[in-house]
Amino acid sequence: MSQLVEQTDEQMTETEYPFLFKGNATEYFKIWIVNIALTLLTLGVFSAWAKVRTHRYFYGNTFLDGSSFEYLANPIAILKGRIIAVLFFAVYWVATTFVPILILPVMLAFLIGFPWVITRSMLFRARNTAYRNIRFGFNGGYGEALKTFILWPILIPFTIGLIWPYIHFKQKRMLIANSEFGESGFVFNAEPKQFYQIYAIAIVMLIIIPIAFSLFAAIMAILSPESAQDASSQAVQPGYMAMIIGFLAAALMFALQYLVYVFVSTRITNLVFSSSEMGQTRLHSQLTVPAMMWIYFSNAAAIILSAGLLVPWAKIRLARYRADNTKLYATGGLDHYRVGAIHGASALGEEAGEIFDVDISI
Amino acid sequence: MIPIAGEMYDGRSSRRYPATLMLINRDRLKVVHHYGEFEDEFAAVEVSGRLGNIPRSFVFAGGERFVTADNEAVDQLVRQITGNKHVSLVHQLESKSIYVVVSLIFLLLTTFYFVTVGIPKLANEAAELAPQVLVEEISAGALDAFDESFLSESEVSAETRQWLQQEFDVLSSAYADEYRFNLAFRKGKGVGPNAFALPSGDIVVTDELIVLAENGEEVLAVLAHEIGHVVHRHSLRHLFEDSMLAVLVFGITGDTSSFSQTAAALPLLLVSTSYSRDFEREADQFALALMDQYGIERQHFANILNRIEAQKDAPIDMPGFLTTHPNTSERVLRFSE
Repeated sequence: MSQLVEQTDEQMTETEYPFLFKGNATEYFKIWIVNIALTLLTLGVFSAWAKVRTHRYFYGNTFLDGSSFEYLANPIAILKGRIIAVLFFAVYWVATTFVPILILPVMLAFLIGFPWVITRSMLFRARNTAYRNIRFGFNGGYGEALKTFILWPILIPFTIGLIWPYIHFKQKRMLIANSEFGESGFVFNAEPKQFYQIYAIAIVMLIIIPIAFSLFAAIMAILSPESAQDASSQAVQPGYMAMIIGFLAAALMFALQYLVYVFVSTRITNLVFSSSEMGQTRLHSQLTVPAMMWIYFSNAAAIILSAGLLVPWAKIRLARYRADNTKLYATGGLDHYRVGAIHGASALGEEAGEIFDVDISI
Repeated sequence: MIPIAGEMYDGRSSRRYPATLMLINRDRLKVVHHYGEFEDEFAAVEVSGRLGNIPRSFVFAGGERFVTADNEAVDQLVRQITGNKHVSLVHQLESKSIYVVVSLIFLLLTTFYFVTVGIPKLANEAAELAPQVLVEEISAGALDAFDESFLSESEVSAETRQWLQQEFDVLSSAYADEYRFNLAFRKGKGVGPNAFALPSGDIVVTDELIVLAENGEEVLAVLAHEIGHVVHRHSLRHLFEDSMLAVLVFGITGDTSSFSQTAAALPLLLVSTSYSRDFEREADQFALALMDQYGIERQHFANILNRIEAQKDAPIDMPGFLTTHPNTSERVLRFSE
């Protein structure tokens, strides 16, 4: 058997492998609606199966070089995790609401347990993802999670937030550099500097754009020949004018924050993917900010106008755009990866992570 | 049976072997690929369930995985071996339009029922069960926050306050066993003529309202309305209703990005304000009965409502479904027959 896995015709040039997403909105709509109906009918018990079906659908429709990814989690494990997470949350709520003296110990227990929840959920997600019958793995430890997610963030207030891009870098590095595919480990070669550059542009946008807008408005008001008339009509109905200006300013601020949010998340995603390597294999992500803004905005509009029924369409659309703009480059093909040692992974970590809304996706 | 075409992954490397799967001896599966073949009993092979059209996999005891995109052939094979007509129950539901339509209708009806009947009812029960400690804590916190942001010390004369306090005690006496009523006077910097009730039984009335009223009965009419909010535990119920709504929205949009979730804020607001209008009507009804009982003319409530309405400086007509209170003319009508 050993000669079977030997590489026979190694090409030493780098080949581009595009990701391909084959899911479609109609098909997923049916799965989604049945998932929700069954979850309601079973008073939430089916939600664990619904989650597995959803992940299986998205992983199973993501293809790379002709093979699809697989999501292998056991719904029973997820259900147990959910029950424990809900119980924990109930205890947490009761303790902090009715027995104020317990707030401190409970918070402390939470802070101590949180890094464990993070590493377990990363491990659970990785172990249950497979490609070509090889599972992913994760070997990040408690100590690193404690430092990255609890200790470093303590410095945020003392550095007026200036440390945040560095912490963000460390969090992404923890996720990527500890990931493995079979026996091959990932390398994360981004620099903190690159995170600082993205945040610096975001800060400049947040400061410069409002100033530019108000300057523009002020100049327009001064130059306008009807400014005198405007002033008099304003005097008649100060309520209306103030309200309109207030609405406009609020809408502009919201649009600006939205722009900055999409800018940062898109650029960080590109950076994280494009800095991930595994031997002769590397990833590249080329999402663009305008496209992501358009997708998020039109998705939100479609979801509102359809009272939620277009959620499946919105998710499929986003997955397709992401796949279309993610590439893998490899030298020597994708056939030579070997299976690694097996670590166990319970669902508790990931579910507990989910209920406390920890975002661990890359 | 025609062999199924697919790929084999041996579980040791990521190499892909083109392969075919075939049925031998009624219940044994055999995989043939370029470098060899292996077989096992069907019962020992783990076959993934159908889901949309994602590839199916057969995991053999030795860790080998045969994968094929030919879902129809796999379903047929499984049916042939097990004799079972329905390969996967959930997939049946997901693939037949009729079940999808039934699910959709079920979902719409459940959501409708939950929003119109379920949430208000649950919130009512939760408010009944809420322990007094929690109620006091919420109320004290809220009053402190109001005092800091838009209330300041009252400048109304002591006699006026004393008179209102006496009349208020009489009005609320029937419910004094159940609630700890407390009338608080404040100057409402930002809120103008206004009154509001906290779940603990604290009722705040602003100087501006007292000044705007032409007689004491008008203020008492408003206080009767606020007593109604306390007795019906409206603010607590509103709090619970909003939390349950948020959970509902999260349940439906749960997996989507945080931006899509903010998209749900508008329907949430619409439902929330509709609950709030129901409470206002209930409190109006309560005030009406209480005023009749103590011989306060109904007209006084209509008068003060009209005067508050006339006093608003931005006369922008909000559409009815966006406001927290029912239309003033609708309310006035009920008090001025």
